[in-house]
Amino acid sequence: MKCIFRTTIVLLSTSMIMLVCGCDLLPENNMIEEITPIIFWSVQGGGEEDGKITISTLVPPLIKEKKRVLSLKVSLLNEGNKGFNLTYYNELKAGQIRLLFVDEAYAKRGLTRLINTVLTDPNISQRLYLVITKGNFNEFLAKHLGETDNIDYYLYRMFKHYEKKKQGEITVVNLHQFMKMLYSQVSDPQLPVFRAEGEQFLYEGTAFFDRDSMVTEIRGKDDQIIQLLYRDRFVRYLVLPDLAVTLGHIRARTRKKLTPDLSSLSIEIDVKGRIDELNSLARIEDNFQYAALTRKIERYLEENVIRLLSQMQKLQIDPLQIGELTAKPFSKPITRATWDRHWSTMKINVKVRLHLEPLTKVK
Amino acid sequence: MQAISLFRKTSHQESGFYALFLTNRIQMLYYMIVMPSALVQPYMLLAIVAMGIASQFCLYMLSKWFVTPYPAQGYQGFERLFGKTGIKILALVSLPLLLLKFSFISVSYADIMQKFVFPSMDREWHIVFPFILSCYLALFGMENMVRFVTVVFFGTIWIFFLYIPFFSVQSNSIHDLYPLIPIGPEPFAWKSLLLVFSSLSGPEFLIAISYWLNPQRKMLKYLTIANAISVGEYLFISIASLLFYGSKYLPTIKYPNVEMGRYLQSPIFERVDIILISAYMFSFLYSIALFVLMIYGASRLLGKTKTSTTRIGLIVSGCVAMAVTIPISKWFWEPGLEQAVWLDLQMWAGSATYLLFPLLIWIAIKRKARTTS
Repeated sequence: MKCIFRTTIVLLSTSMIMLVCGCDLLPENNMIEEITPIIFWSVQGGGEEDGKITISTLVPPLIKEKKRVLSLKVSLLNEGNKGFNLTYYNELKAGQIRLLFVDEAYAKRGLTRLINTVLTDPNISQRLYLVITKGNFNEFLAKHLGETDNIDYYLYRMFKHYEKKKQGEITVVNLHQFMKMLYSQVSDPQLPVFRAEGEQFLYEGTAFFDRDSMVTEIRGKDDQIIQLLYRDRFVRYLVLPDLAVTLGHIRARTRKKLTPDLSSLSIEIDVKGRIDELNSLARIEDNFQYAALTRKIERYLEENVIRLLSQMQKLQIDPLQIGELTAKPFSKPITRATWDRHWSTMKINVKVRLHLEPLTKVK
Repeated sequence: MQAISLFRKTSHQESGFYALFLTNRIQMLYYMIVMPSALVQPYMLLAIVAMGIASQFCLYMLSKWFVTPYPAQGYQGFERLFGKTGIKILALVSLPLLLLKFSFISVSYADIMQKFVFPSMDREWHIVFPFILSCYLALFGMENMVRFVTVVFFGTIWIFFLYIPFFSVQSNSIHDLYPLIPIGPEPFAWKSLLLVFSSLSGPEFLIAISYWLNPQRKMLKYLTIANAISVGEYLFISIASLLFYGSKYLPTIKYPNVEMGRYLQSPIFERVDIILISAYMFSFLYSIALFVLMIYGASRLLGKTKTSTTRIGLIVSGCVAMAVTIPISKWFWEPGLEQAVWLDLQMWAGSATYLLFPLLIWIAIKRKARTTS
């Protein structure tokens, strides 16, 4: 009797639980042969009057099959994801997405809407690299459709490689870093810029943002000099064609200091490295000449840093996160408007100290 | 079949470590849930320290209870202190509080589980499965449960080390921790102080299980160590998340410490956060089991105490708790307004019990001492 009673209770409670929770435990099908985890999305357009964007991706990733570019013209990002599923035989999963390429024209109109969509998806990791592209990215993809040509994966590996040891070779920014810069009280974000040209995908420089929209970009040598201004970066080569010098293995240590009344900023950069290449090696005969060259490079770097910073001041942007120095333990944080006012008129002193290893083994 | 007794006691070995581990784990139960809404401003770091000191005061009163001879006598001890009616009133008051705590932590945990691990699964399953496991744990009886806390403590304390890498992330700067005093544009939220205090609450439930803790004279020492570890952990995780997100970005994120786990990379697992949530489940399951046992104990005090304990009784009282929790999750847990109401309710209830129960028992001891002398 007691046994029957117990069984009834157990059965009853089990059926009650089933009733309350619904029977379908996991409504998602993740059978590996039937899904396609994509590696990137690329977003273009948005300029036309209907506001439509073109979203594209490459399938299938990492298997020896002929690749295809999927491309759709949509008004919402996730409309594109749904559309992909309808045009491709496998279900596309965004859980492995690592790269988001955004066209320059789109970035100039503001990234907030796009980023918010990506951020709210719980499947997408914060380690998503954001990249600004120029040129026709889809055409570039169309040239990499071979069976063994895993261009999407290798692009991801490239960003991962340069991110790992904080190398200043190229700017690498992931979603988390972008959001942190965007949300900071007074500073602005930055992203790398690449140009798609035929079969090639070339690093061009760094794009600077005003809040969420891209305003300008710096290239080549300027980009390398700006890399020195971040906290503790390693730069492999600093090519200075104007002086016919290449500095190598550079470790820069930068100290930035704001005066309390925000009227001037002093930046001290200690650069350690060596001369890797010199067009006029023959002319360096003694230590005096060597010191003179060092002096010359220092002056040159100082001038360029000041020029780049005054460019930022003119645009009232702060991609170097200098504004965060205004936060003090016991004083009120300043507003964006106050910072912009002070920043655009701020006096800037730059001091570069070059510690070059002596030249050896040269004739 | 051997007759079972869920509330028997066999060992009389004195050890304060069970109390230490229990206090710490119960205090750390909330860090994933409370973090998002309260600890987002840098000045909350000072608030954590302040509330840690306040909690120390409550623990001091609690330790006064452990030095008296009453806890070692179990039920008789309480009867001598409060009388038969007093105990019934206390059980009646604590039952809804226990149910609230039970429901709040199960639904909150299920929410985290659903958001990060199985987004397409119904939330109710995440309440039911842990509950079944907890019932299994609870069936081992109170004495084994109290001992099991050692395993739970060492099985979950390592989570804390996962946050060390966030101190060396490149985009960090010390300026994210400023200003240290509340002079920002937002008004200082007094409620957040209470929220921190309530998340440090929980050790007051040790009164109910003090019989199995084999109390001894040096209890204050162990309780202080536990409290210090909890405050240290809260501080550590708050500093890590402030450095990582900055005080402007942090309030927009619902579960920052899980998201931070998500950011970690491991060569073996892609999703470190899933491991983290599962490990957190350990201490969560344990406390659910403890609360089920307490609910059963309290309902026995209300009814007939003389009959022996049964498995069915425990499961039925657990199912009653489930019957409260599942409707809450299904109909009264809309994000935004309703969740805020539950958080408020839990906050007031937690703070009140943490302050009042030790105080009540302290006063009762004082009164008893006066009348007997």
